Amino acid sequence: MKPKIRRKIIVIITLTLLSIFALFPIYWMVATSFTTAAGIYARRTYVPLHATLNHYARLFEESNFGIYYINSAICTGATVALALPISFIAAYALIRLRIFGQRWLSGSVLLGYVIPPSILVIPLFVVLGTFSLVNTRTGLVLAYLTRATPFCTWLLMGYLRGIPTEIEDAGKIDGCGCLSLLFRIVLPLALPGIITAGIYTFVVAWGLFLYPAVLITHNLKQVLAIGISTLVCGDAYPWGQVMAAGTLACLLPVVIFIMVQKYLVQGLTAGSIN
Amino acid sequence: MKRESWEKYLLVLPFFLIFFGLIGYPLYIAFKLTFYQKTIGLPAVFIGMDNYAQIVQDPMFHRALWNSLVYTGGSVLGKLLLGLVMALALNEAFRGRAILRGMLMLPWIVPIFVSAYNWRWIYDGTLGILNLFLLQIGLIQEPIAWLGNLHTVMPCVIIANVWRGFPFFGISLLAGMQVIPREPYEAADVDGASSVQRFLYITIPNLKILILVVVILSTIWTFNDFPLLWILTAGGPAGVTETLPILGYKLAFISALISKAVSVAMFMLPLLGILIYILTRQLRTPTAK
Repeated sequence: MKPKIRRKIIVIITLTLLSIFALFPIYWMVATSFTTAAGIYARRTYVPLHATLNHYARLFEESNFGIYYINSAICTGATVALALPISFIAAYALIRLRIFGQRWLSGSVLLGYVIPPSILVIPLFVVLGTFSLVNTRTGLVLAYLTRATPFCTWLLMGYLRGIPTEIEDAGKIDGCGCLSLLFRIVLPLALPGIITAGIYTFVVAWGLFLYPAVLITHNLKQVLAIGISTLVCGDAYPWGQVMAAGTLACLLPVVIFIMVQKYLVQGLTAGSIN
Repeated sequence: MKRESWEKYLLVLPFFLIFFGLIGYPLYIAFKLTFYQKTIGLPAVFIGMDNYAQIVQDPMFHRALWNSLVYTGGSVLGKLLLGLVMALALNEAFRGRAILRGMLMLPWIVPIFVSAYNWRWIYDGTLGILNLFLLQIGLIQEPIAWLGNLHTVMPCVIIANVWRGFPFFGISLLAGMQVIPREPYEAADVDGASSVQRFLYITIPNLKILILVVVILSTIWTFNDFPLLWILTAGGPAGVTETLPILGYKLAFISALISKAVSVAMFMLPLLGILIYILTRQLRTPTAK
């Protein structure tokens, strides 16, 4: 049984090192956010000795952090709420219904996703500008949708390909209409894929940086990704506050992740290789 | 039947509006813009291929292209290796595996801008924990400005990128490993194959397509990455981490050279196009159901 024990030891050591690498930056952010400014500058320990909530208090008193947070939540929520039904229905149509140019379209769905934001951001500014949507949350959500829908559609196309058509055929015989078929029969079957697409969209939209940096210049419309940088003055980083902001910015995604975690068992690309 | 035929186009209409209106049309505008000289505040002047001709000869562009390749190559390789390690370790049966899997996913859940600040704080030249740690264990004699040093900055930003991206590899590869049939492993055990042999001759061949998919997806993400590098270094010091997206952003919003910025970004398209071609090709062949 010697090799078995050796194998176990290797696995334990590997997972310990990997966990330290994965979790230390997060731990350090949280620890710093609770350390007094004096403690941060006299850095000698790895735990916050004189714990304080001061950085959090100042974050809300001295910056528009609360507003950035709400803006992020609204824009990300709207993006998920729009991207999922749009992508799900489009994926279904592209896979199951006969549509003009279907082959070409399903092949190029992912193309929409690889076009670098660096190329699109300036023309998007022009396009949104003609509808007076620059500096609005609506405009920002539209820009977010360009990142979310092609990838979600691609992901869901993979999932739907893996679902046998027999169940739908049975539904058709029973006289289900197109839409009721979609929502009452296909939707429950594709739910793991939809949840995967949802958490993916949430994480991506919550972290998008270039689009709000360019499309939003009005401070009170700004989202977290750019808002946090307003805490920094030139090269002076108030690290306590930045880390407090970071901790709070992680909170919502982490809570949502914990809630849907069990659906991610199949992995994030499971659908794509069906 | 007639009614259904236009109904189905109505179903995909929102997707088409986004796809053609907010991606296709802006791409067309961007493409058109590259044939003009456009500076913020001045009217556009048609100059044909001049933007591209100038960029191809510009040493700044060569440097950015090279930096992009190093940053992307290094990061994706690191993510693949750590991802494989994570998947192999989590593929063992032990108690608390589900919890550990969830915890190892956290770097991917942390918003990208937050992870950038985290690493900037860890690497900080005066107060950073990395310096404190290395001083304490005696590996270095004096603090190092990790992100200000020409030699350390690229490895440092790559590590930050690997940190964020390896869980995606790990979780995807783990899912792939769990559906590999048991029989080949049992046969290998009978033949007395070592763990390394089992990994090289059974696990890897079974995961080939999955590895290709995650490598290509991650290459696209890393190649396009803007926030991590922008917050960590903004392309500095002395441009050694200035990738194509960073160069494009600086040209557009610092130098106000709009059309030149878009032209630089356009050079990213052919490479990404090739990757997508390989990806769709690979995915179609084995699944011609």
